[in-house]
Order: sequence, then structure tokens, then C-alpha cells
Amino acid sequence: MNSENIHQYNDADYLSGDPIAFGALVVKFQGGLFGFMGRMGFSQAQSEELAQETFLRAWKNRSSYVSSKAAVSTWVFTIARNVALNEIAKSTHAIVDEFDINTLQNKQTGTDPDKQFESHQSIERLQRALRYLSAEDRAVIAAVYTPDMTDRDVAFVLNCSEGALRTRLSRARKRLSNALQQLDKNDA
Amino acid sequence: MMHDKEIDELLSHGLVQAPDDFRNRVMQQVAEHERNRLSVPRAEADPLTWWQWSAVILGAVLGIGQVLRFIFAVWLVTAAG
Repeated sequence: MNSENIHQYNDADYLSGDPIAFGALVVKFQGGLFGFMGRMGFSQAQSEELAQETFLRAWKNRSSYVSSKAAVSTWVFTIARNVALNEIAKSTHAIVDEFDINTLQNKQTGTDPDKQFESHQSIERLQRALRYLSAEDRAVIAAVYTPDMTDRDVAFVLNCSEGALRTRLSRARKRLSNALQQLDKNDA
Repeated sequence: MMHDKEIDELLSHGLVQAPDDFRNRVMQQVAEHERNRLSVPRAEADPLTWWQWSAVILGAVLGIGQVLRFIFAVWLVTAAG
């Protein structure tokens, strides 16, 4: 599917029950959704499974989407948040047990070994730090850093007010910063 | 304490990426879901079920009536001395 096809649908078309339109929705949001799952602290394999689960739920529940309440992106990320939080509640120890760094490195840094090493280290460090955060803190960070999401959208996804979002984000950032510092101390 | 800018930079990394065939995988699952949904016969309104429910309700009403009649009889005998 090319990018021209993606843009020929509006929010209502995506969830009309037409598989081709739904495929366009998958292509449109898969990048953001994987980013979201990664920031939630999930490995590549877990993110694939959870992103699939998110889209399957979106397909199954497409009749419950109300366009006047939220954009389709907001709706999809709300499902993603619920899927991610359920997964964390189910298996708190399974997060980031194995992290498929190789796929990502090749995509992000080409084949330069030095860049790959740096990228590997910083990503691994971040993944480890995210593990120290609560599920809710991770959800705030994951949603806020999703491209094209306004504060209003993020507040909708997290089911809180925009004011509460700012407070929660500031707290989550502080905790992440502390976790990163703690990791640096431990590694030193 | 790290600055927000440093954290922003760290978080801007795509920690995981969608595989190239991800859309196809999702659409396969959707197709499978639809096949399963269509192959399961829908539970249609069964006339027997309707009669069964009627019988249960009728039986319950009659049963309650019998109990009330018994209680009334006991009260009547007691009241008569």
C-alpha cells in the first residue's frame, strides 16, 4: 500500500468494515503504535504481539467508535493503552526480558559499528530505566511522545484532564531522569 | 537531574519498529476473525426456548401460589383457635 492510498480515507472510512480501508489505517498508525509500545517498555516481539492485538480489537469493536467523541487515532491509542496496561498487569516481570536490538540498529544507524554501539547503549539504557517506572508513568511518557498527538488527544487517551496530564508528565519525567541517573551510578 | 531536552532526545529514538509485513499479519488475523465469526451459526430464536421459559414461569407462579395457600391455611387455623 502506498502513501497515496492512505490519504484517500477519512476517519469514518477506516472503520466502515472495508478491509482495504482498515489496512490503510494499520499502515497509517503502525509506526506510532510501535513507538508507543516501545516507550511502554515492551520488547520488539511483545510490541508486535500487542500492536496486532490493538488493531484486532479496533476491528472487532469498530462499531463502538463515535467520531464526534474522538479522532480515530485517539481511539486507536486508547485501545493500545488498555492493551499495554493489561499486559503489564498480567506479567510485570516479562517486560523487556529480551530486546531485539539488531533489527532496530540496522534500520537506524546503517552499518557503522560505532554508531550502532552508541545507539545500542542509549536504547538499552532507556529501556532499562523505563522498567523502573510504574505502568501509569510509562503510559504518560509513551502517549506524550507519540507524533501528531495534541495534549488534548493524550489527555483523552489517558482519561485525565490536560492539567492533570502536565502534572503526571512532569512527575514521570522526573522519575525517568532519576532512574537513568541511578543506572549510570550503578554502571559506574 | 537530567534536563527535559535530554530526555526528549532519548525518547525520540524509535525503540521498536514495525516489521515490513506487519500490515499483512494484521489483515490475516482480521480475515481469520471474520471467517470464525461467519462459520459460527447464529443462535436463532428457538420456539422451544420460548415455551420452556413459559413453563418455568407458570410452574413458579403455581408453586408460589401453593406456598401462599399453605401459609394462609396455617394462619386461618391459628386464628380460628
